[in-house]
Amino acid sequence: MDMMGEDMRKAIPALGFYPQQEISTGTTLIAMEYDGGVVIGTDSRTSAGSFISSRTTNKITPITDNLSVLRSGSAADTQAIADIVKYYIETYSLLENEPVTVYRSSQIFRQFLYQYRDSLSASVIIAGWDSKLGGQLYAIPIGGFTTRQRSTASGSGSTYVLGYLDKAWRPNLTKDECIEIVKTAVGLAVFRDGSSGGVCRIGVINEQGTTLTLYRPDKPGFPTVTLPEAHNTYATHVKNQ
Amino acid sequence: MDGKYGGYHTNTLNPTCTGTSVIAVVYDEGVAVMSDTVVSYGKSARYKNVTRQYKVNDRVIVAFSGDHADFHTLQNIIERQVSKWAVVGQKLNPSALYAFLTSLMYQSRCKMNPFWNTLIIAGWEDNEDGGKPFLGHITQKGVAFEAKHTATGIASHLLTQVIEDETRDKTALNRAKAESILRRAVELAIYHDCLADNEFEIGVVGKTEKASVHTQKPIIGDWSIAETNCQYE
Repeated sequence: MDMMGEDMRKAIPALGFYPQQEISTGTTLIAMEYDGGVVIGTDSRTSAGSFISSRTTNKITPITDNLSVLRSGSAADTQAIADIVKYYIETYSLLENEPVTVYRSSQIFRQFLYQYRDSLSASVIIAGWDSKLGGQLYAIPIGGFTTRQRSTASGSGSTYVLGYLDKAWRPNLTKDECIEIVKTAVGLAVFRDGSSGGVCRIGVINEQGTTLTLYRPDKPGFPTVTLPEAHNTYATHVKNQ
Repeated sequence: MDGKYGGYHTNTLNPTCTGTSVIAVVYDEGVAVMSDTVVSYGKSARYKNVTRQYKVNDRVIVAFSGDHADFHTLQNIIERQVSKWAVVGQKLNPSALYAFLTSLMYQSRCKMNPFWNTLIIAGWEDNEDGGKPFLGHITQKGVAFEAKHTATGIASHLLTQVIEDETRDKTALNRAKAESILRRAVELAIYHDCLADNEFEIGVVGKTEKASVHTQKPIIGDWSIAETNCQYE
């Protein structure tokens, strides 16, 4: 990893230099394939250090009507790459007069994310549908390795739910079963990860296009986690009331 | 590293399990203190339902932000000190505990062995004029001051102006108003602090209220802006 950046991040009060902590979508991205499409889910928090710079971010970036990219890592890097790749895909589909397949789109992402791997901090999931292979998910973690997955999670919150997703997955899940699993996974990750939070955005991408649903914590339907009752924090003779 | 013989603890140079902001407001007949109940391990919400306030006696509450392990040691020290003072018939006033803790925090800092905490001492000060509310703030370095409202951690950057707006030049607050200011602060904290949790407690101590810390109903907040929020273009 690039270590030079570590020193440049230190504040030099004598010069009045206080570097800003990188804006990152420390985040939770979950995606699952079902027969006929893909279900995607994200949180909505963008943080700079421990400050939340945006609490209702949209991390599902549409590239075409049938393809979206889920972004995690540096917000600036992923936005720039998504814009560039969207341009390429639009141009190819205009020149060739047919939609670009999800596989080819993921390879275009890979081209940029691999070539500039030492300058970027970007980890994405490409989710889409095409008539050739149906619903597809391609995970592209940091470094640019691209792999097709049936069920995947990315971002800092993903580590808290990998076990849950492993247990929940089975073959031939329906669309609604996938939505429940993805929603619950986002709720569980948000419960534990400080870099994830806010609202839950769920998307379904299939032949008909992309449908996005918003689940707000202040409205019913938001995936909640039951908190166990508290024990005493201090010794039992210490009463706070 | 090396704990000194007879010393309480080893050098805490890296906090591990931490608590985020504490916010406190003085009202006409007492003080209200708000803290959430999550223990953060870096950016992970590791343990829930853990209190960051300690009722020392009917007249004093100590709340903290920073390292939990260091505060638990401080709680042991305070308990020991209070019983030493009780032996000589001294029931603690908040200003006395505040002075003791200031010296302790500063001395530890001088030995390069700090308690990685910011402490809020809230209480009802008994005096000949019937008493008055007390609110003290002690930092990790031993900087100490009293105030009418105060905050630690990220809230000291984000929320002091909000609380200032609600309290300056207004008629004296009552308990209900003070608590509603704290609830508003919790809402803003969950919007802007990664480490904040919506499960929180409010500790109250005053002229007629014996010190006591109570769990509050979690605050969800208003997320209507998510409906209109669009793509980054």
